[in-house]
Amino acid sequence: MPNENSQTIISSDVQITGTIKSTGPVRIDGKLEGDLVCAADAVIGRSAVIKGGLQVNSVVIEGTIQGNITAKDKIDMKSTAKVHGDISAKRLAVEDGVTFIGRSEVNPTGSASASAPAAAPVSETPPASPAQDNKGGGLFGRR
Amino acid sequence: MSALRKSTEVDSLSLVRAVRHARTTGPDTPPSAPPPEKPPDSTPPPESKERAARIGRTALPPKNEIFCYECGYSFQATGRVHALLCPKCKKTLDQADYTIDAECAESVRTTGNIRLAAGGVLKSGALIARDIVLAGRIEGGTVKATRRIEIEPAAVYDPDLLAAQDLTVAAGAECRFKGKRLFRHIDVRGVLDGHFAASGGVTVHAGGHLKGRLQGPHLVVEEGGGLTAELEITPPGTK
Repeated sequence: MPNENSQTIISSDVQITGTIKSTGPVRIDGKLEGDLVCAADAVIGRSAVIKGGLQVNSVVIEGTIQGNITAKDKIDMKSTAKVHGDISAKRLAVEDGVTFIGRSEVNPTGSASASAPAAAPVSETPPASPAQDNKGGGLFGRR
Repeated sequence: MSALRKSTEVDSLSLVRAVRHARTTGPDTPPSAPPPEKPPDSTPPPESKERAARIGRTALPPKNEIFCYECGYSFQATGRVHALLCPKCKKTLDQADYTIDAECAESVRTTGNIRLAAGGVLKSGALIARDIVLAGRIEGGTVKATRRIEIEPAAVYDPDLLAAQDLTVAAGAECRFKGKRLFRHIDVRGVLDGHFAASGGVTVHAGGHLKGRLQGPHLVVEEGGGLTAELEITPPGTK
């Protein structure tokens, strides 16, 4: 029977290729090329580099992730986080300084489904006329 | 020749300069005077430093960025002035704050603030001000805020008629923009939908929801804020 208080730690000098599955909390400071499936909470440390997807209950991100993140509860991006991929969660907290390129599907007030597709891109509008294109900045163009 | 200046009047600026000088160089002592002896256990009283810091913070007159609605020139004015003259076009600028709570069909231009109250209707003309709060109805004309525009829940408007540097969507308000819009800072407490590019920071507060697309260097999402969007957040200096 696993100890509920135990935490699996992948230290910064460890590199793993493959999928990690865990029922307990996980902390990754090293490199992972593969997916992380964690039924509990995960911490992606500042030195961590993950090339793969994450399926977790909640995750605190301080390192680099190239892949999609699906959290049942919460994604917490600290200022050092770099995420290239789509995220889906029930709750989200983002600190200033993050690098994030991808799609986000976070709706705390509505029902958040883990398998929900990412937000569809906003339909492109026809190219604006020069006068319309200047809106929001045209007033300051003479500065 | 003595470098000392004697002043019979002490204004706030002189006080600030004196405090800053004292903080950087320490207290003035005559060159011939022996250095003060310190008791071995004595420590400088912390109150004096705190007081100096407080004076330095509070006594500085505020600097206001003024945007001339006549010629478009931008300049700074320190403190409060009775009459504001644009240094470029030499025209007197209105500094008053206005509240529109009835039908309005004329232009209102000021370097102050305008509030279009819940019962206010803008039929035509232009509203130009530093900060504009929209809680009424815009049926025609244009609205340009040289700094910030705030949209409240009761506002009825066409987003194409709005222009501002900063955008604030108040709690409970829903705001949908068509096409790509550029802002400096965006504050979301209600619902904001559209394609945005921000040169400054974007903050989604708890209870707020940002939808659509967003490009910019800074993003902050408070816990409880919603984000259903395609994002490209790259802080300056990162690739």
